Amino acid sequence: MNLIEAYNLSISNSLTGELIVENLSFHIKRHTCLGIVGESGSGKSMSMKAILGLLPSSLKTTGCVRFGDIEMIAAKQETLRKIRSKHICLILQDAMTAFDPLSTMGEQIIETFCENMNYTSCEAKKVTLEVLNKMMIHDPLLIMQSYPHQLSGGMLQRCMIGLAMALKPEIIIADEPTTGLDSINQRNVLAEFKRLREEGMTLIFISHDLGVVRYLADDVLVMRHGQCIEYGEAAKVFTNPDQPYSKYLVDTRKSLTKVFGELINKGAATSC
Amino acid sequence: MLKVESVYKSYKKQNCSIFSSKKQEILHDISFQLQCGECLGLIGESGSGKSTLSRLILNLERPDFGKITMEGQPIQNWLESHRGEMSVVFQDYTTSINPFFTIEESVAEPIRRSKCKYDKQVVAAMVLHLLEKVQLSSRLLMRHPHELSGGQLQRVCIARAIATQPRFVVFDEALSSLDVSAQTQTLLLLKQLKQEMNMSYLFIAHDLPTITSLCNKLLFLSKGKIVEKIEVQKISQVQTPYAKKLLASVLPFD
Amino acid sequence: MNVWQKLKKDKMALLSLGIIVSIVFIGIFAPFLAPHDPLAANIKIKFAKVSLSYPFGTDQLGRCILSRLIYGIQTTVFLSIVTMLLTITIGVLLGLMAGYLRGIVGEGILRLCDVLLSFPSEIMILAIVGMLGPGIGNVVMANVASKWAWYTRMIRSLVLEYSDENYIRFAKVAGYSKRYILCKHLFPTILGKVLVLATLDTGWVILNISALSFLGLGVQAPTPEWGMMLNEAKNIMTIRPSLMLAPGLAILIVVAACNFLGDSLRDALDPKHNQIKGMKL
Repeated sequence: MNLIEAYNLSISNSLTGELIVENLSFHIKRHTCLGIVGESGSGKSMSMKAILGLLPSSLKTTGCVRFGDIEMIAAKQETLRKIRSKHICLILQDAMTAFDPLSTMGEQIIETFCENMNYTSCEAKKVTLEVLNKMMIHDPLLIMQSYPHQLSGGMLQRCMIGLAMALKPEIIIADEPTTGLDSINQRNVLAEFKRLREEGMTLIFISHDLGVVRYLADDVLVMRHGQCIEYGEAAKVFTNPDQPYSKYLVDTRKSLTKVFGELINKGAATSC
Repeated sequence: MLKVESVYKSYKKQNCSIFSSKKQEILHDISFQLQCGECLGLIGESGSGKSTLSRLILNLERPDFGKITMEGQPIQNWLESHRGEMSVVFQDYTTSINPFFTIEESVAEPIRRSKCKYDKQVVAAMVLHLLEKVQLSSRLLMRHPHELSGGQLQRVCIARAIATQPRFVVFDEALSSLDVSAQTQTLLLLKQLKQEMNMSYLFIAHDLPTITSLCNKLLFLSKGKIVEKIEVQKISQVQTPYAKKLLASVLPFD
Repeated sequence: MNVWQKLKKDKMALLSLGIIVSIVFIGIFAPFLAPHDPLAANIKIKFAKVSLSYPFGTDQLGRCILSRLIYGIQTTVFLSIVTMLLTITIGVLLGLMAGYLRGIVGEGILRLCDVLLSFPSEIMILAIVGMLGPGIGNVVMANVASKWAWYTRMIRSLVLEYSDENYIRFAKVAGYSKRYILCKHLFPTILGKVLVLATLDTGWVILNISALSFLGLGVQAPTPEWGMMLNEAKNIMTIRPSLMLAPGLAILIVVAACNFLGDSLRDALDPKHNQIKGMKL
């Protein structure tokens, strides 16, 4: 069953008439992960924001996006807000700005639970601890007492994922969640996403890094200049891309790790 | 060439009262050397003190203890007597170029400010040549920084950094904020430039793949200390748990 | 795209600029444009209605209101421009110094600013004018004295903000001289922001000069000045309220034009600002 279906999604600037995203069509089945790849400025995040109705009014969205039996493009702001709080969770790149710097992590997470899940604060506290424990965070109590700036970007991102998971949405949209993190943190965050996948969460994962997308996604959508270049199964797109642009992306990604891979293999060979 | 001897640096802790002298140590007993023509990689997670170290080497800040020398001279003196021979490319390309300057002005500035005085035509020709070197079209000359993409902008920064033909360039996470495809292209460019111009690099990064494909030597920096030094060729034989953890964090892709 | 081209596309900016420029011109050519001598009283025709020879009528002494308004530009608008120029010059010089040359010089300037800023500006102005006595020069001095400290602080914080930008760092590494970095990199960046503030503040100064005249501390009668005219009209407000209209509207229009121009300048001077308002692409 398709959870989200998008047909001919286009975004244009109503002032200049410039097309930002052109005729994008895709769908996500329940319990799968769709990866969207493309260079910066290709319209990846823009189309996700359009689906959630988060674009400024100067940008016009056309097409048809179906979430269950709701038409998202034509939907009222009120319905969209309900969907955003209950059914779709958005995880953004910069976790640092996603939290309020003036209150502790614990307060914020508990408040979100009380607001969205109708927990009492006591229950919320329990759930928070549970969630943080689940995320393999060593000292959840300490994390809850600290302010966002005292934690690393990776830790914040993991808290964000934990939070999103505990809200039990039907789908999580992650917009470049690992960009800007160092490689150890990136790996930790990715491990959390992998776990999410294994628990059956539906995911849309946006990244410019093919390696990351390959690690998580079942289907891949390659975007460039607002257009869909290739859309298909991840295994196929990554091993045997149809389009030259997808091939270019795969090749550049390969050559980035080539030297490193050779060195590691050589080391493995000599140590044997 | 560059010699860093037991350098310490600490900052005053924030949110403490003015009178307390509690300090947070950022760098602890850092020593290493960089030979001429070498490319040294400095790797560490965020908050390990990489950028602080680069600022010390660039003489933007002074170390609390220890010496940083270049060809035997203290770094401040060396920078004064060898203007334009050291250069830098920063991570955040969006603030690296004055937003009021065109690309041409930005690239030409180091040439115009150097000791030798050139004619206008010569400078223009040099700028064109530099842009060619970093594989940028001359159509971009009259544009402003915000009209360029990230990859293009970082190339402009590289062109500006090599404009005075420096012998030593610091790359402070110069690739980290670029797209993967732009990273690969820039990496190739850096390799090529290194051969052509015979420069020494100090390359700071947080991920191994980029650093291993460019550098000959690696320093692992963790919590302000150098935990391991190793030749890139022997990367698979790292000993310390931190280095092993970094090695394991690389996503395979083939 | 340069600033002028951007401003040209902004209708509000063009209108404001047009108003300000034409008012300045009218002020300069006041002797040729004013239909009457602004000081010539003719008690016989006091409170004259609007007519061809007296387009805005006459005041309680029979002086032509239009002529007084036109000559008033020379005092009100020109004085405020002079005040603003002086304030900005002092503010930029000291602010750049305080921000870039830290140490004793910077600290000294800052503490002086703190002392001045601890007085409410209206009280400062009243105190200075009170001590030196009313008069054009003193009004300008009082306004500058109450404003420069604020600008210095403002510009210093801007300098601190921008000297952490990577292009300044690069310039330092490349070994450019301090003066060059200040003049070429910091000054243009800051000037944009300061100009915007200054246009917004010009309105404030006009109001201030008018207010001082209104209180009888600024320009002295019979010199035509918009605040003075309001003050005189106030005395006969009960019989002729319409007399307050002309100077009041004149002040309103100039102040509004300055404010709108400031807003547009801010947009135009920002090289990143796109044509689409409130949207970053």
